[in-house]
Amino acid sequence: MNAKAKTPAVPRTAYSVRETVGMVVGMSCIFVLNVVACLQLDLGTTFGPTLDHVLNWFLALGAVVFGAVVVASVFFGARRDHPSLLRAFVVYLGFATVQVVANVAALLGTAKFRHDSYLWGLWDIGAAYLMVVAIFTGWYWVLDLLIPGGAFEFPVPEGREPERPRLIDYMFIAFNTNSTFGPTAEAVLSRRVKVLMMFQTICSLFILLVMVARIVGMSGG
Amino acid sequence: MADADHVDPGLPEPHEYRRLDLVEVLVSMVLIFVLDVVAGFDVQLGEVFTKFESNALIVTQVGAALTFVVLAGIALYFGLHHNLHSLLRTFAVYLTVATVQVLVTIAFMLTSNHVRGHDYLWGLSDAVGVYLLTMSVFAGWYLVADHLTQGGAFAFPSRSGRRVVRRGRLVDYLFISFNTNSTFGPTTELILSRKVKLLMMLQTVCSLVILLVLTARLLGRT
Repeated sequence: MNAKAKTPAVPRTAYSVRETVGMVVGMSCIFVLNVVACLQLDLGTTFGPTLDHVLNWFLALGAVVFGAVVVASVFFGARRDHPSLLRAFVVYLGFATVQVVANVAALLGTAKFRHDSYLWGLWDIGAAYLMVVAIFTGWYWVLDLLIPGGAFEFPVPEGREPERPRLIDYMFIAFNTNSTFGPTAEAVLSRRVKVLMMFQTICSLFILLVMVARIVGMSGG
Repeated sequence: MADADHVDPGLPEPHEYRRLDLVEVLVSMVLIFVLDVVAGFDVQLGEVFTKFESNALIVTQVGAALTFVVLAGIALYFGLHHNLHSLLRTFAVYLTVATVQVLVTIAFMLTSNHVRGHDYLWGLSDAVGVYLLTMSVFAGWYLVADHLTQGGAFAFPSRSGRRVVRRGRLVDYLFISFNTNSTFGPTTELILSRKVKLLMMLQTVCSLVILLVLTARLLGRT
């Protein structure tokens, strides 16, 4: 493939004020997507009261952690300390990943109890899917910026200067990993990201499993 | 990462157009419309919808057909004036209406699934119809986006030592669209435009929902 030339090293550590603000806004978007997905999941699924309580705690705690991360990111952003700013995001993403795992595990535990009459009753599965996409978009974005030389090799046509990737590019990677159960057009250069991608694939396979179980449950019920 | 949206001029100057380019886009537009109509009828023939849903689908289908007739006249005018840019934009208007039609059809298939009962696999022909509908509409989008995006929206694979393919033909875009529908993601062509990435994600969501409906039907949720 001619177009897939090795991406020359883009200076990924020198950011303007606009780019720093963009980072905080991008991470806020990921947080909002995560909260919306969590609420949808909670509304659509018949978890037991204890499990419901635990997941709500996770949601509230996640909001507190994100608030603290925003304060820290404003502080680090003002000091132009971008590595620390990105590490603050990593703290939130770490917490949000635990939240994703808890939600997927809860879905696995309740799949057999659920009886839907209509296919759109499966929209909480869609919410879990969205949650996984949102959180892993954040991971790929932050790690690509933190890892020296970048974590991905994006396709660049011959004779063109590579641009700095944007949030949508990482969302495309996370979305495709979820839907195809593996990497697609962007080459993965970092072993940490390979491990993360395998983890995301496991999450999306579990979601598929729950969905199939529900559909089978529908035909049986 | 190069987003091809703002890099170098993609469309040639008007005097550089080949007559074939204009004819090709016009023919593609008609073919995609025909595919769209056939697939729309196929979905209707499945008879799984309520009267309201059925009427709504007919309205969207007739609306799309009327839009096409009006736009085909405008497109022909632009074609005769060698204005490929405006011709493609006209095509994009039709594709927007057709995309709404696709989304409405998929939404109704999702909600009406529980009323369907079939003894034979060919009873799933309406699911095939909506698959075809999605494929044809998004093939149109990829064609338009690749021509309108500066520098092109896709990087097509080419043999080493041969000229790099800058623009695809209709069959290339059908191939991309078909593969996105069947593999739920991009395959051999690299995507260089963020707008096309968004389009492809939308197509994947559509094809995942179609798979869901199909699986539910096969498992006898009737």
